[in-house]
Amino acid sequence: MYEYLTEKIGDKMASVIMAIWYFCLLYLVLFFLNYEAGLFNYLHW
Amino acid sequence: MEALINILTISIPVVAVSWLLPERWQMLPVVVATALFLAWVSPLSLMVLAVTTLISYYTIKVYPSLTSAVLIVIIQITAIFLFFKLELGLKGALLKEAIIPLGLSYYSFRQIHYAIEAYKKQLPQHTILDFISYLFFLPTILIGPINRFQPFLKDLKRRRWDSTLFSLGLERILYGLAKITVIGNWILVFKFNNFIRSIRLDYPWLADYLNVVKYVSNAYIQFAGYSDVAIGLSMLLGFKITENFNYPFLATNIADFWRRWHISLSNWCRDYVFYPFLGMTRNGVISIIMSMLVLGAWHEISMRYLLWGAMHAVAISVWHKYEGKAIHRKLSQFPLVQKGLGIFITLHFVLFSFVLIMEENIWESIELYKRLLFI
Repeated sequence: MYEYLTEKIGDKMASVIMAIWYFCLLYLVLFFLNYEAGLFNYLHW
Repeated sequence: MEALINILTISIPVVAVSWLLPERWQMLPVVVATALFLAWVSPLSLMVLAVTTLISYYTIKVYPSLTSAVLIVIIQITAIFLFFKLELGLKGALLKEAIIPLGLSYYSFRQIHYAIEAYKKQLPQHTILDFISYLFFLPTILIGPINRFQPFLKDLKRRRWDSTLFSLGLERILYGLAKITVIGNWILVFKFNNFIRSIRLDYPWLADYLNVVKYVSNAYIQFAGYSDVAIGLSMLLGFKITENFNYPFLATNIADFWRRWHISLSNWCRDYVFYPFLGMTRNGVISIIMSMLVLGAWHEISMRYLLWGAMHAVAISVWHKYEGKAIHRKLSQFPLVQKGLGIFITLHFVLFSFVLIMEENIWESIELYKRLLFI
């Protein structure tokens, strides 16, 4: 993805977009892990 | 999920300490952390792994006859594997509880691979510490892949700090966790499940069908996510571990599916069951049946998994027969139609076969088959 973005919009913008993408994913993972801890208890995960 | 979070938490100091130590001691924290992790979550597994590791290595190294040594190792590992798997298979029917050593399926198959490669004289020079590092490797101890010894040893000898590989590893872990928590646990298990429940009364057939879709896609997403985390963690330590999945639902036939789904296990069965049986019997169908039965039994030794394996064996044999027919050659003139049809049929066969293992017992699966087939 990074290589594709670098080709299309340049090195700097690609790095910014990748950083935002990683932070979004990390936020989602942490959010859902936190969510699961209460919500999914009954599923015995 | 809890075990995975524990492994990830343990891995943070382990990775840091490992790279800070001098080269010859770098695997020590990984091995110690694996042993401590096993002692914590499954002491029985630690005992089985430690004893079998020593027996496997020294039997092959010290025993005068290589053939006998390899046979002893294979029989020893197979007996332990069968003992615990049969116990699991009998759970519910005869036994109330079954304790299975954590990661047994993976490390027993790794040791059988090691023994057979030793027999073929394909193992490069190595020490007991290399072998221990291979089996006590934290990233792959819990959920595979069944990585091979030779590439592991190559990485062990050549690995150097590589910031690109490290960042790729971090990215892979993030993708793996996102697959498990967001797509698997949230979208499939929670949202999609609620949707299925809401339509069950009005559209019972569709609800059953979507339930199978949910089970298979969740199995894939969870397993692929765990594999991503394992591969990513290995990258953090400088190892490139074999891939386990390659878009299996885009497979155009069932043989292709098994080249894309749980690749490390299907390659293991191909190399150590299919080829030896083909060499002995010169019969492709028997070899396919044997390797798919082993593949089924690897999951659990029970009627439903054996039937599941046999079902796939029949499908692969039918596919190989069909490949030689005129209709297949004729259809090849329309590659797009052939591909679309291939993906559709393969996916639905896979869904159909997974009904056997998604229910608690075989009778419930039969009931579901009846409902799905309007019988």
